[in-house]
Amino acid sequence: MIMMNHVSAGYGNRIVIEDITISLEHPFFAVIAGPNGAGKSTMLKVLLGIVKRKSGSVSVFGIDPEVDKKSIRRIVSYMPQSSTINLDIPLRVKEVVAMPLRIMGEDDESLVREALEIVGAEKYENEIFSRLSGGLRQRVLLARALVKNAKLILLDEPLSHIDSKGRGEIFSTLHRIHEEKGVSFLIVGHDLSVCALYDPYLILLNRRIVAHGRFSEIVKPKYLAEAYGSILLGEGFVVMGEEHG
Amino acid sequence: MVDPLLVSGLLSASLASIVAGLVGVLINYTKTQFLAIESLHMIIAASLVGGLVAWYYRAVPSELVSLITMALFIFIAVLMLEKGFSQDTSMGFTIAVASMIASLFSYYVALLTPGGVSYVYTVLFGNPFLIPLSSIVAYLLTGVLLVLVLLFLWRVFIYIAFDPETFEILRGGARIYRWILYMLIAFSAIYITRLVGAIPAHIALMMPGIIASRVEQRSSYIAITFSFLSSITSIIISYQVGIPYGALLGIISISLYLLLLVRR
Repeated sequence: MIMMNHVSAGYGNRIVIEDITISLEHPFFAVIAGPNGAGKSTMLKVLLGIVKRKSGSVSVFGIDPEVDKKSIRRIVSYMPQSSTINLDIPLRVKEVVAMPLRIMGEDDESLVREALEIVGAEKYENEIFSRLSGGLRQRVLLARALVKNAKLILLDEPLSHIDSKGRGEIFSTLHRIHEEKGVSFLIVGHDLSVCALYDPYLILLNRRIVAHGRFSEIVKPKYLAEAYGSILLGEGFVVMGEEHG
Repeated sequence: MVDPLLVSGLLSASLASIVAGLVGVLINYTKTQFLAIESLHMIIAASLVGGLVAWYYRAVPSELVSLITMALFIFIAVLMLEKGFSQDTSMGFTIAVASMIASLFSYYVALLTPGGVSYVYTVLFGNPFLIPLSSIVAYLLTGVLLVLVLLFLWRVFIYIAFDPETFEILRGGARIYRWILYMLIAFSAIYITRLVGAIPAHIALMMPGIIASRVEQRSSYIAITFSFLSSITSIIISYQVGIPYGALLGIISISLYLLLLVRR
């Protein structure tokens, strides 16, 4: 179970998220959505303990991430935004996936192969990561997040820079892993159209939590307007079966 | 009997090239070319300040003055970073200060000190043939130590360069490792400058990584092999025909890079 209780956090004097209170029962499949600058990535980083909270309390499976980082590293995985990855370095796919194990001093090739099989990228293990398509790179990064058998995986914009078909495939892969392995997922995303099929738990954020609950209950013009400032959300956005934009 | 000048040249160029090959790959991967150039400019200025002050105050060793000058440059760069200036701005400003001091002191070293022109030339362009064999033992030990440290931290540096956020989450201390990398780059720049001169050091540090980036498979090995072979070839041709080592190293490196560009 993860719990955030009246949490405020930010960088320097700037508060990015304010008075966040939420609890999610393991295993959950949740999406955090909101406009740019809403604090979505910051919320993930607070759960990882790398952005210090200014007030409130956080518990991830009973652990305070700021106090016991070592335990958090074991049970929580993180998939960063693809834009933070340096594609000039010619690492092979299997080296990328093995990275968390090697950093933690536990190199195990069978775990790497297993993780690649789960995301359906095993035949690319000897390819150079940067030569893969955007969708395949996201699959490999997902395999890297899975490799250490974490209970909770935090994903920061895993669907960005991918076409709509690829977005659907990645999202269904995430949902399948959640169903089959009982892994909890907390996914930061802009594009909610892919969510409709699986009705995930949705947290609408705009510095504060605007609304949270099942996707089908939350995606309503009232909440969306409050989160985004407008109900016209852009290209391809699906609200309760109607396509806007 | 092999000419001792050639032996000195071969050993100096070999040591410089191995360190340059390794560090060159890291410089390219971590996008720290600007930092390496900043280090080389600081070294030129610090060496010239050291030369002039040691000539004026005979009791003061030039290395100590150079070291203090380097420390002052680093202090300026770090102070600017702490005050919120970007890394590029602080480096750019420090390069400008170092270049101004180098211009000023090279003039007075050349004008006032005996053998001053030769000293300025050696700082800038080096003379690997004239490094005494007795000093090369010390360079060899330093080089081995430097290579061992680089290899020991190699994977950490690559992971930080590849995905700094995930490294920070999995292990922490990414910022400290990055500072260690910066120090190793600066130290390598000093090492290579002492062996082959500051201007050839620009080529030695930049080109292996740039060439390796054109070849995606086993690029680190290619960079080190290229660095070593081009250095040895340059020193042998330089010895035979009397063209400066740095010029030959540049001709070989740039030609190979252009060839790779045309082939693609």
